[in-house]
Amino acid sequence: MSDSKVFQPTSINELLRTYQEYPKALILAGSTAIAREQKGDGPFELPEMVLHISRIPELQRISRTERYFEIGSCVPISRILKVGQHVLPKVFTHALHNIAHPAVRNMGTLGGNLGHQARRLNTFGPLTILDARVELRKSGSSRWVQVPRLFTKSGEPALETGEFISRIRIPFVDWNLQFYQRIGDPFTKPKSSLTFSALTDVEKAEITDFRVAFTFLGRSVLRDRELETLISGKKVPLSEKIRSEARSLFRSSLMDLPGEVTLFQKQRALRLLQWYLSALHEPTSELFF
Amino acid sequence: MKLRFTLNGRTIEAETSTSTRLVDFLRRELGLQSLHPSCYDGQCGNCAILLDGEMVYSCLLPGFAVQGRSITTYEGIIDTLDYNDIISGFHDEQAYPCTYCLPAKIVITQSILESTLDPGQQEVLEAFSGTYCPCTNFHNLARGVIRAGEYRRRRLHER
Amino acid sequence: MELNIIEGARVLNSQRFIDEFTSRDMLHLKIVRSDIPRGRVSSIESTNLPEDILIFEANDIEGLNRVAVLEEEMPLLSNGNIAYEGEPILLIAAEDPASLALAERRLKISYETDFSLLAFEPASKNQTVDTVCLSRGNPAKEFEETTQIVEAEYRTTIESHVSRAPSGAYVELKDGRFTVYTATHWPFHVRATIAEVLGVDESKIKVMQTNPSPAYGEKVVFPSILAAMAALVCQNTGKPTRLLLSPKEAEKFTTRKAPVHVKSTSILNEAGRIIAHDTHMRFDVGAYPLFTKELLQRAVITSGSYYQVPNVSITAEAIQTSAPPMNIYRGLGVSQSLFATEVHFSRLAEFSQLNPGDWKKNHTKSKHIITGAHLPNMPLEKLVDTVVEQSDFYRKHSAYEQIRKRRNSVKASRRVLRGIGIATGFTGNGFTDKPGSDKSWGINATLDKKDQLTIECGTMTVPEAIKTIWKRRAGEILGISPDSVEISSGDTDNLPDSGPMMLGMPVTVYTSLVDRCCNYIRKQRFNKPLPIEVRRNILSARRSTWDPSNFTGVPFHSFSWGAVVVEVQLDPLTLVPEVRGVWAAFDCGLVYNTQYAVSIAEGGIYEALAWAMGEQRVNPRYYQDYVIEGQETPNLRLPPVSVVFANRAKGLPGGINEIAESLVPAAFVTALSQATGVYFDRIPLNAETIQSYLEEPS
Repeated sequence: MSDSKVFQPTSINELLRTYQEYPKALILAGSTAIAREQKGDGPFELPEMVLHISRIPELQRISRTERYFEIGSCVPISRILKVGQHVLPKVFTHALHNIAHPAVRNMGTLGGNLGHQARRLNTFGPLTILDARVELRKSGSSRWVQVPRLFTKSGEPALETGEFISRIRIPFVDWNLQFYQRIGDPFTKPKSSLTFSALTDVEKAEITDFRVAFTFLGRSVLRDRELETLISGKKVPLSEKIRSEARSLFRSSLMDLPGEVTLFQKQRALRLLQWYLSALHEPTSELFF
Repeated sequence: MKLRFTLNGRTIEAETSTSTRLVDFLRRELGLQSLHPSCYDGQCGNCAILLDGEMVYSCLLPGFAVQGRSITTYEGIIDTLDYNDIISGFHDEQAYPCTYCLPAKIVITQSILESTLDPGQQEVLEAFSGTYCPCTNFHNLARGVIRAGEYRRRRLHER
Repeated sequence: MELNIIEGARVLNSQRFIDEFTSRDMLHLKIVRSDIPRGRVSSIESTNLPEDILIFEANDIEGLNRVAVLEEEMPLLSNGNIAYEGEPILLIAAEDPASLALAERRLKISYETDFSLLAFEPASKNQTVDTVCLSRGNPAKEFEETTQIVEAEYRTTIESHVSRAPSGAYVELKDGRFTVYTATHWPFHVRATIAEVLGVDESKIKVMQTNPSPAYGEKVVFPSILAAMAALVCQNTGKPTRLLLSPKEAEKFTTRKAPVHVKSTSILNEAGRIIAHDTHMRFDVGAYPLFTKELLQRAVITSGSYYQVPNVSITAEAIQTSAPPMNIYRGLGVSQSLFATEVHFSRLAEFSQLNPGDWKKNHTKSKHIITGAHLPNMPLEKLVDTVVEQSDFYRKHSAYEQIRKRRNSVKASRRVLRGIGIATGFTGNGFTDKPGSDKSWGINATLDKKDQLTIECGTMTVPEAIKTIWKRRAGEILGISPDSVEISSGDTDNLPDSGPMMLGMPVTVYTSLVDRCCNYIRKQRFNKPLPIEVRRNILSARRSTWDPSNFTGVPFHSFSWGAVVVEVQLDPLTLVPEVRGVWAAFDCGLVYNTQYAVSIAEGGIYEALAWAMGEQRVNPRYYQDYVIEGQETPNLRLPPVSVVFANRAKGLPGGINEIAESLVPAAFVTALSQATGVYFDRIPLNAETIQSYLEEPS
């Protein structure tokens, strides 16, 4: 196996120039994904060109304004938690906590977790429903996109040639009911694993906003806008009629998912949603079980 | 690929293939025998090192990830008083990791104690949640780490 | 040829691992394995291989192509017939590992495939390699005459062990002698195997032990296979040779826990008392069975357990299949057997209308076990009392029963489901009968003029905890300080053959040999001049104590007893079982260091939970608290475990790991059954399996 050529740019301009010249280069930051996807104990199988971007200061920054929190794509997960634990939405921080274990969180980055090509990992669901936006840069241009637009409907990366994720922006919005759960492990149990992210605002017993998303730890993501529209504006607790309607809607959406999503995953997703709908309530100060 | 980095306080210049994993580079090419990779999947923790002071698993990283950075391995801890704190804490709480995973457990404990000298059970649970060796009961290990913290506090504050 | 060990910083212990051995002209060795599970090799194409590649096959073996383990054997290399997928066919060697990798890719082996695989279920009669039966009373007559029968089938799957330390061997030849480095718990078997394979005298071989790290039985026979392969190449080339398996290869082909299928049928009278019981256990022992007799005997004895059933028939059968050899896994069939037994008897307990804890205690009153042995010190009643009190078993069991009965269905439930289960039993330390009647397995001890005692044990790497026990006991018997006792390290040139380190031998059997050596020295000390040397060997049990042909008497050197309660909860949304607590009480003889013993027991309990849940390990994880309003950080938890040891003032210590591992799965499954109202009868039980049981038509 011949050696790959590894570039280690130390500034964003250097990165932009190099990536423009070698758009087929593999971008590596924390490297945890490549190691976990390549089973076995041999050397890494790397392509001809590699761009190792973990040393670029601009991509390591965390900043905050009144309206949003901005995280560089190469900030390790553990640092995001250290800095933003008490201000970032719980649905997102719980997703971060559930990533592997501390050694992986010290290496892995948000850009890597979000942009993993083969799987929609922990943070994808929460950032989708939080309306987070991602900055994509390439030489001479940059653009902001919503998280789902990072991939096509069939799950393929939707970045243009030469583009990479530079920043992730998470708006500050208060949600009074948040929920995140990951079941299983995407690398060891891909056929039974999933994540469920939910945000709900309830004011005076009325649901003013409702968002849910499932990822199935392959390429599939499910966010059902029709379902969200159905539930928004309803009173809590939801009536059996509404819940039944919601179940039917959701079932059809599940049936439309591609074959890589197993029946077991779909059943789990439906049960979780059913439970969440029945659990919605006027917020109190007590922990709800 | 040429690399220049700090290893256990010394500047190292070395060369390795770009596809080589960091654990193999450190172990086979630099002779650091304390690293005992077995799963190569980031699950067992036996390849743990400190990279710029943070605990990472060297089986998951390519060798070139150390460029310009600082690494501490078990070999860099063993001749220090920090090591004594840890090994005494383990011994006094009957935590006896086997010789295969002991180096990694020392490194992980060091990373905990560099963050706080008064770790709680949650912090220890968290740090060791990505390790697996059936040789040591977790509760003894946790007590050992907390005890090591106590010994280090005493040593540093009694100066 | 100089051994050039890679220089590095010192580690705490000077013992090294096999991947640290290297020398300048060393050959790297790789095993080329079969791609098919059954058939014959029809051709091997070895053109286009790198020039430096050397190939070895069965024909290159000067001695015997076999690895013999007592009365059983398996080939070292295939003679052309393939009995399982992965069976070694060739060995390829080269100085450059890159050449090996290339050669492996370019080698083409063709097969005549035989599709008549030896399956486990269904298996034909001629796949049975051995059967052991125990019968009491007249079960057949009772079965004919009864009307109330409980029938069930139980299954466990393969459990493999993820090896930690590298598996392999390093062999070098100097002055006509082979020096072998490998991590083994039976170094004299390594020596004997290599001698047979190479066709040389055992005196030409010296075995040095490398660090074995925690083992599950894979260090008993497996290292002999690897060492013989390396020695074969070393003999043919004269060069030092190292065989190192990758972690994945080691996991796939090292020892595994044999799957079992158990059919149990019981007859009860109207009062719920068991009148007759029939159990048939079938173990999948893979392509080349080893230690079969011992496995079956232990399974039968622990299956019969202590339950007082007047008419009993227990049969254990070893089924040869096309699976890779199951080899030897810690416990040798006991945990599988106890799982089926305890789950089954928990079901039977329901018919008695008694709480399971009381039902089990009733059966312990006679203090007999299935072999008829009367054990007046049987501690089970007290152990049961301990765990039911600590776990609040009676109240919880009753409450969960009420909840379960009132519930319409699992699917309609919104709340978590809870259950609690109990399991009791024993495991045995030492072989049921000393195998290899021609072998002398023993320990040497020498007291010198300075009152220093040296103990020599041929397994070399005795765990530190056991060394401490020996030193202390020796010190007590001889009236010397434990610091004056040394446990000698060495090799097969200067240490005695002590047999394999398995089945609790070091902690029980070898400890009693140490006692016997010391007692002899104590008696002779002032009559004979120092130094005094003595050897004591493991003896076969006297017929009056244990009769294996009739299965009567005391079958083990000593017993380890246990009672375990497991409480579980099941989230009906995710169907992921969660352990709320494990309470265990053990009597493993004399315990010197309670904290350390608890530590070992907890380790065994967590491993058993992992097996029961189909996980690799039980690590701390986040237990999801639901809709989050105020909680800042999720909390990690490990299932809480409480372990208590019976306080024995004297006697011998016993094995802990096995009894801790063996009872947990049954208690776990019984608890889940109560929680869901569904009778689970297999492990592992993960969410998907649970779902499939819940969906079955009732």
